[in-house]
Amino acid sequence: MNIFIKYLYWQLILTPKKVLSILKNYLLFGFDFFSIKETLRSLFSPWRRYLWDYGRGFDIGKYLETFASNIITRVIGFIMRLFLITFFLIYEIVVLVLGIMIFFISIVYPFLFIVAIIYGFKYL
Amino acid sequence: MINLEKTEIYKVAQLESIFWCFKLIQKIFLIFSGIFLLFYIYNVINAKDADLLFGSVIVTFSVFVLTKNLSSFFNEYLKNPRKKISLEQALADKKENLSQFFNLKSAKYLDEAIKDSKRNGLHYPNYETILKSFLDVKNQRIIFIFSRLLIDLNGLKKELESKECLTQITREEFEAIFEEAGRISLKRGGEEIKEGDIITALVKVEPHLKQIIIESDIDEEDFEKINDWLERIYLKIQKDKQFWSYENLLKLGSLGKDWTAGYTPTLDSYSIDWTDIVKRRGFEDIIGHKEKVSQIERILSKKDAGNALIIGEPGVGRKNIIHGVIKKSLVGQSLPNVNNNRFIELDIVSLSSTTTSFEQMEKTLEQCFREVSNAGNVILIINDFHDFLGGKEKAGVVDVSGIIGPYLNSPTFKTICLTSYAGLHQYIENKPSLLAQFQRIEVEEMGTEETLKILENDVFKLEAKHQKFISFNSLKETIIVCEKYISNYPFPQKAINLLEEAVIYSGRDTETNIVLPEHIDNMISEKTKIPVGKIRSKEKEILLDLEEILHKRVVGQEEAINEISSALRRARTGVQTRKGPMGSFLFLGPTGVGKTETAKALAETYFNSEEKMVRIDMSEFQRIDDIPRLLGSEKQPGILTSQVSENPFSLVLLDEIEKANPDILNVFLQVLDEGYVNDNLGRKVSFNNTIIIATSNAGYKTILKAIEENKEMPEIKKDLLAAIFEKGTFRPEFINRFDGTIVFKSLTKEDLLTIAQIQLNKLNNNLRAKKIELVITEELKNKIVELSYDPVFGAREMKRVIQDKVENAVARALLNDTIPQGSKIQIDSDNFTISIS
Repeated sequence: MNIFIKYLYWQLILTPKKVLSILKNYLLFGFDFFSIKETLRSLFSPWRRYLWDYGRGFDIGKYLETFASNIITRVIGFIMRLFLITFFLIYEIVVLVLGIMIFFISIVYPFLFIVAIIYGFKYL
Repeated sequence: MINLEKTEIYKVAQLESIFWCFKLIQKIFLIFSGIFLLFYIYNVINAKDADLLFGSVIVTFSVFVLTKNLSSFFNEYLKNPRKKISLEQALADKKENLSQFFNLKSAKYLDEAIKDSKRNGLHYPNYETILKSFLDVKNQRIIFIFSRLLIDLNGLKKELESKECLTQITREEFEAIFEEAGRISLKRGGEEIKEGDIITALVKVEPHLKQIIIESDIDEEDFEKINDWLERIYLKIQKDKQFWSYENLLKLGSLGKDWTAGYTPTLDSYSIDWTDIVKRRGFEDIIGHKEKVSQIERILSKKDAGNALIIGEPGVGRKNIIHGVIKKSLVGQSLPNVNNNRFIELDIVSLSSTTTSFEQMEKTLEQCFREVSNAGNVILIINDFHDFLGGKEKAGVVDVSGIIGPYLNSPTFKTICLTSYAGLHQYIENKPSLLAQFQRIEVEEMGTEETLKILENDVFKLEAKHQKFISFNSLKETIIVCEKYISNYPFPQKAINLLEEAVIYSGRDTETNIVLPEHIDNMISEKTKIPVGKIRSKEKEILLDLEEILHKRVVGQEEAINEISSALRRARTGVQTRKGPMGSFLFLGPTGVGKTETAKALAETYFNSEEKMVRIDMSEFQRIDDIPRLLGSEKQPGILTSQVSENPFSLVLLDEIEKANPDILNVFLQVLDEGYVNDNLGRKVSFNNTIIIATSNAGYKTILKAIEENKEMPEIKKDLLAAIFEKGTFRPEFINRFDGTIVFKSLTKEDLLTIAQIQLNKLNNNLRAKKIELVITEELKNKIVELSYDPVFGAREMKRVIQDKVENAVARALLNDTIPQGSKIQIDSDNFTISIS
């Protein structure tokens, strides 16, 4: 293969492929970093396993109190996880946007800089 | 087949100089673009015309980026041409061009060698020409190999350059080098043939390298091992550089994984977080024990109770196995139930130091275990588990068995406990219901190959810490001496400890900054009190002159001494393949003929002191019930095992072996065969550094009779063994286990005269302190021999006669003050009276 064709193959095929693979790594890493699988599975789970026992017998007042406490701990857990999911979504969007930008730049940047040289020479 | 010019890599090698220019241009233009940018900013701030500078910044920076892009093209793509087949396939098919698997440097060096050989009119570059072109003194790989082996790379290169070598080699010989290099690469898991592989292949054929090997302690395999080490380093660097790889990204950790897990405040106060330790250590490579790591993962991932009991001696790498599990768990590469757990070691010592009563301690422990169970993401580690089962009665030690027992059944309670074999047998096996809750993982001692890799991984940390250069030879020496001289501690820990101690020790040596094998030898000598280096270098001399050395102390017994010396020479020079002790002998003969004296002389010769003799009277072991006394039991240490453990470099003398119970003799079959015995606690006691001598006077009557009949030694031995087998004193398989069965003859009168002289000389030495000299006359010696000669008791009577007749007379005279200082005394041989001459 001619070296020029080799260069084009590397620049236009292999380099973007590598950028895409890195992008994929960062996107997948987001799922692990923000523990998405675990977070979704336990979205309404109590915060840090804080749960109150209803105890024996039935006392409506005590029952409601325990029920309320358990709801609160689940709500706290839900809010915290919601925050985490929000940050995850922001992260994924930022990575995706930056990744796509880098993907296109990685393909065209040598040609852009050739143009820049021609442009620069105009000032010389 | 080798045809370099037909390969892609060859073409790339031709282009290298152009791309090297790009690298230079890149640097120059980056500097210029920076300078132009500064001037441009200055002009803009001062409202001066900056168009020219603007254009210059754009042009220089664009050239920098473009040349950088071209350099990346060269390094990432051109330097690694794609191959249609694998190296393995190419090696199998002789017609394939192996040079397509060369890396750029190898292709370049071979090209140089080919050109060089053409200039000299050779068909193919010979070994010296290839080596010369591969010895690039600026190549980091080559420098690494030669510097770690302490070979003067520059010197060797100059030597090769100064000689004109015109040896012709055949095409087959030429190609064989690269086929071998290919095999070396494949063996280390490589896909390219690199310069290290070719150097390693050359070691087997190139005369200069062969000469270096002959003249030094380096082996051919050392090159391969260093090459393997080198490529592992490069691979790790390459992996770490790729920060974007998924594996490296996972090392950054995660958020929210423990939000569903409960808090463990009490446990946190009395524990050590191993997960944190592993993170701080930076995900080090775990060498060996991979199967044990998987085993623990499987146990911990069980849905019901999952408790692992790691059994092994301290130092075999039990904690490293747990580190391996934690490493995989941290990056989510373990089994689902193990991933992202916290590994916490219960610190019972700190707990006992902060609590005031047992009740309080038990309550706290109960709370800790409850927290582990409730948290849902904690795997509890208990080190030295046996210490907390009530076996050891000491202050502050609590018996956790009652508290932990109910939790071990729980599927939410996962634990890894560590213990030794002694701990298991002594304490844990006493609680079978507790033991039944665990799955055992037995950790064996690591092999030398894996230990070497661990040492290699530690080298750079040690070098940075102590500002020393550690040679490969010293790593090798560490393993050799550890294997030979340190038996009370296992690999890899003993080697790691010794290397670090030796590096510190080498600080005393102000002449060099290099850690040499001598430093390792000196270090081990200090530890074991045995002159290691000397023994190893002097051992040859000792073995060659053994007869003479032994005869300085042992009178007569020429045949016996010759046989012992020959057997030891065979055993120690590796002529015999063996696993057992350094040497083992059965001494047969009447009493008082020098059997014990020979053993003492051997101990002094080999171990530098008579003190290095473990003497066991086997007549004390006549019953089978005596085995625990010999090997040890829970209640008492074994007479044999404890002494050999404490003195692994010693001569073991088993006196009157014929009196021992036959079942006890069976114990020695394994010792003589394998070189170790397990004591009653399951600990392995090594006899590899001992010489075992068993003495017996069984069949002495046969010897006396044979001597009377003037029989020759081989015949005497034959008769004696026949008599022993007939009586059933020893079984043939027992006798055959010894390196030599040595028959000691009765002493002749001439021998006894010499012994008398030696004994009287000893007395003279004692008297010399009082400035008195005893004149030893022939008459006196003859009289002593006459009084003490008895073919049955040998020289044993002589000591008593000298004591009775000579020493007593001298003592009495000394007390009566009849011998003035500085006088010479003579003893009348008839009545043993003292006269002053």
